[in-house]
Amino acid sequence: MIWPGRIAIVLAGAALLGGMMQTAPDYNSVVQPFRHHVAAGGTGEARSFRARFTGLRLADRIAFRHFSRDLVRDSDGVFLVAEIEAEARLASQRLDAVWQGASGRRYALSRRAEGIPRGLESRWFQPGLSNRAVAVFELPEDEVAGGALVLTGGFIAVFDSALYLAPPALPERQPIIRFEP
Amino acid sequence: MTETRRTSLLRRLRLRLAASVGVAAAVLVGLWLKVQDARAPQEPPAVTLGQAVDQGRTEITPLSLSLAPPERAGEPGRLLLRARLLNLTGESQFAVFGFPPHPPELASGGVVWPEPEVTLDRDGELLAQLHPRLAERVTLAWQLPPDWQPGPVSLTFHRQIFKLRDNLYGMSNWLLFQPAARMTIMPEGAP
Repeated sequence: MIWPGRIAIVLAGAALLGGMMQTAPDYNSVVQPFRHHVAAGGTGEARSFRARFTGLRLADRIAFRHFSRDLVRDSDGVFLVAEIEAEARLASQRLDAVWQGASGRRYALSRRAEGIPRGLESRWFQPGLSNRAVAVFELPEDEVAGGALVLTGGFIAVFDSALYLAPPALPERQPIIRFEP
Repeated sequence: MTETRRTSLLRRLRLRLAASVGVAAAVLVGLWLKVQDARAPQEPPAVTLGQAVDQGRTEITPLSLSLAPPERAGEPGRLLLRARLLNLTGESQFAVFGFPPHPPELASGGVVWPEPEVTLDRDGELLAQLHPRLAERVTLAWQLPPDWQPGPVSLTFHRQIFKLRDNLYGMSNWLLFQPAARMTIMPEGAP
């Protein structure tokens, strides 16, 4: 008579363990920033900064001056130039940006646009001081509509906020955008 | 009575022994097959120019291999591999050839050459990143060793494996480089 009881305990234990294993979130989903979705034109409040998506431009090519050299970059896709206004809330910090395309793919800041005036990668944001910056992405044109600008603080945004800023109205594609100092 | 009992015990023991030996043999053979599989170098499939090779994060299509004059006077000549690269993942890749970088390995006469310099054809600068769905033409340039005699060279492409849950943290990761393809080719422009 003792056997059915023991078997039931073992089965219940196995079922519980299986259930826990199936429902435990994995590392990738646990170690993520907290998402805040912000409608077009709105100001997003993250834990350590606040930011607003102020302008969006599209271009076939970009031109800028870097280390006394005039550079023109072209692409098979399109250059998306996102203008943001942000300020830190707690301490001086930098911001990182990614464009999450319509397909869900994530496009990092274009390294080919490094050195542009007011570029986001070289910008520091101070508490209480609003500052403007430009983020340049290179991506296929069909990733623009339906995408979002993802702003995170600093280098690794784990357990921090990530602002998903909806873009303003889509502009016409320009042949070239020149960044003047 | 005692005799019968002893026979029965012996038979049961023999049966259990046979079963244990069988299981142990199966485990050992399985383990040995794994070891053999891991240690026997497998020749990667041969590819030719124009054939795409999956490297894990990216796909490379070698287009041409040619000898070129030095970039600056006083430097050795160069061997140029022109290729098309496509990001296969869902995010911009900074480690186009994996991390640590494993660009195509060029060997001539059994000697492996140092890593090439990878430039983006579009603006002639070093390749820094590759975005999803935006294929790029690149040039991989090796400097010719001073004692090299023109002849066929072999190019080995490596692939990294994607694991959704690695064994350390259970996080997604790119691991283990393995030869994915090999190309033996005579560079254009060689006498």
